[in-house]
Amino acid sequence: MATLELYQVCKRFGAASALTPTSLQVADGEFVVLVGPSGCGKSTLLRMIAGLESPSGGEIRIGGRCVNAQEPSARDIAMVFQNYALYPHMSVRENLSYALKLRKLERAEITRRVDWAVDLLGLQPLLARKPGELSGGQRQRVAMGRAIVREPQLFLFDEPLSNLDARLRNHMRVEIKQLHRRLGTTTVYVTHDQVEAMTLAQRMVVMNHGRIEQVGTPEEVYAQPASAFVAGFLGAPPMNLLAARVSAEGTHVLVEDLAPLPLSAPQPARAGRAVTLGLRPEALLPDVDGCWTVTLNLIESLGGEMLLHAGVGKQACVLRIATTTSPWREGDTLRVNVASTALHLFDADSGQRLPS
Amino acid sequence: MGGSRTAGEPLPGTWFRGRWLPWLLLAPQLLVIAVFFLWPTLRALRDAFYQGDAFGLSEEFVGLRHFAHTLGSAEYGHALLLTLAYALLTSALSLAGGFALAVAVEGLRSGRTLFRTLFLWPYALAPAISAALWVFLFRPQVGLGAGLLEHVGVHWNPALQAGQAQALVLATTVWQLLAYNFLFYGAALQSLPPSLLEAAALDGARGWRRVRDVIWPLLAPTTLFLVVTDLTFVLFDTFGLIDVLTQGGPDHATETLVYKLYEDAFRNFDQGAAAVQSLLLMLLVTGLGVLQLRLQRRRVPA
Repeated sequence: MATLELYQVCKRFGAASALTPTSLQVADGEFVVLVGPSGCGKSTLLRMIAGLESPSGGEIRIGGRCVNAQEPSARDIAMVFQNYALYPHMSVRENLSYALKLRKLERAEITRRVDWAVDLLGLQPLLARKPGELSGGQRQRVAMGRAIVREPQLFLFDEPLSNLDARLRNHMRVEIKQLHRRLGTTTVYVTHDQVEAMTLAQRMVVMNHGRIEQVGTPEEVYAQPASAFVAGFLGAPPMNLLAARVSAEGTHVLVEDLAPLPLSAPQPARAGRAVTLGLRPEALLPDVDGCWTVTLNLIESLGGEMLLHAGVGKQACVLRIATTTSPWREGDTLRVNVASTALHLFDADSGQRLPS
Repeated sequence: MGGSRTAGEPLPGTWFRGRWLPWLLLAPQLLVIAVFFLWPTLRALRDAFYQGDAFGLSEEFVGLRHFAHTLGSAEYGHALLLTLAYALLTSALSLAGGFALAVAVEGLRSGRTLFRTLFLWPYALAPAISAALWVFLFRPQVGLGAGLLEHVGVHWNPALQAGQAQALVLATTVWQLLAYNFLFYGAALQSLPPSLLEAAALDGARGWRRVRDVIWPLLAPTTLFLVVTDLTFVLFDTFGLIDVLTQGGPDHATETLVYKLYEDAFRNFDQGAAAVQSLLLMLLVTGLGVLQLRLQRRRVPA
């Protein structure tokens, strides 16, 4: 186990910048998730940590030791790939033990480690099989086994669940979390799926356009998104982002055709300026005395709750209501209340969060 | 075509209304197959059981006599053994060489395209042309290659020395096949999933271990394909090469099955024996094809 430190690490491919200089510290034993849309630089960053790409600048330290010049195999790390990357011509047992054989460990030690991983992941019935004879979930589990037998200082996961169906993905997510709890190995996990990021991360790093947008615990990032991008990326469904304007006095926020909402923190400096108003789907509550009137366009039932797609003024938003049956019908109008503490304001141009 | 489609039924849009149109479209290809494949094959099949007189005026059914004669002859046994040795040695050398070159070129940081192009050239030449090049290079006294060999103390005269003639044929064939194998191994290497090689890098497989444990086994399907293609090439397509290089000599030292067949048919005018030999050769190659299909089916993962 070890710490991971990145100092001003960047990556350029020719003239194009895949990652702007980025710094990040990962504590010993921490589970950090890099999340963002495809092309945001998260995989590039992970591959540089693994040594599969070399950084264009900056320094990568594992356990306090600079590894920039080290080969991947010398960095004492293990990586799980999206497509598993198991050797198709080797049995499961051979796949698990190959790296250990290359390191010239004693046979007894190899057996001990492989047996331990096999027990931990329930691979016993699969040992003699080839990867081609395994299901997606089983391959995933073998790939994790291949990583843990090496007892590395650092685990790297590159979208490990993306090739699995939804049910299996939920199941494996729980397994990965339990595995981390048992082993306590420092882990960097890359995904584009915000649910995976929220559920797995002790700390998450939201990335966009080759740079870090926000670092924090899932709760922090969800409650206080640092930018409109983060706000719109996290949550299912994500936060509603409405074009709005600060009132002339700086005390209210105005959405076109709708009643002004009072700000808990007035914005005199931005009086009259355009902003983006962020509202979580659960922050809009039906209330007969509510301040806003919305038009229901579409109702989606999720069983325990409902998603109401509504028109607010000339814009659209989604409401999430914890109810099993809907008293409303599509086309109805509805009054909703907005708690002033639930308002998120972002700069309309930069997308940066404004104090509220 | 409404409702569900059962297996074997053509897709909508691939259906011809008339009976004659599909046959018309097939006709050119069928004609080519009939004239250049079916007709000669049937002719060979027939000739294998008949003996004509010296003037081609009468024929007599002789049953299996041609077969017995051919299979019993020491010359045929010699040609068969020679061909097997030639085919196996050529395939093995050109496979190993093609693989090694492909791996080496893939590992280059720059100049890959240059080497790929250069190594491909021999394949672009017809066997007879490449043989002509080698004849030129290894003509005793005047050839560049021959001069080099003389320089290191080899008394070079493939027209007299059986071993030298065989080496010359072998080298020319390998040179030509090498390009072909290089091409296929190169393409296969490029189509390997990059993550597998990355996983190998993380596991610490480097150099020789990486090639032996990961790359070579992953290219097994390509190797299988190339073994059969190479053997077929050596069995059939080396006629022109041998004809230009040695004409089967000296004293039958380079007379492979396909060359002996030609000699018997067009020099000795023994139609029956030639027909039998061509049938046996065809059987051999068909057997190779069947073997390839079997192995491939077994290898393809579920």
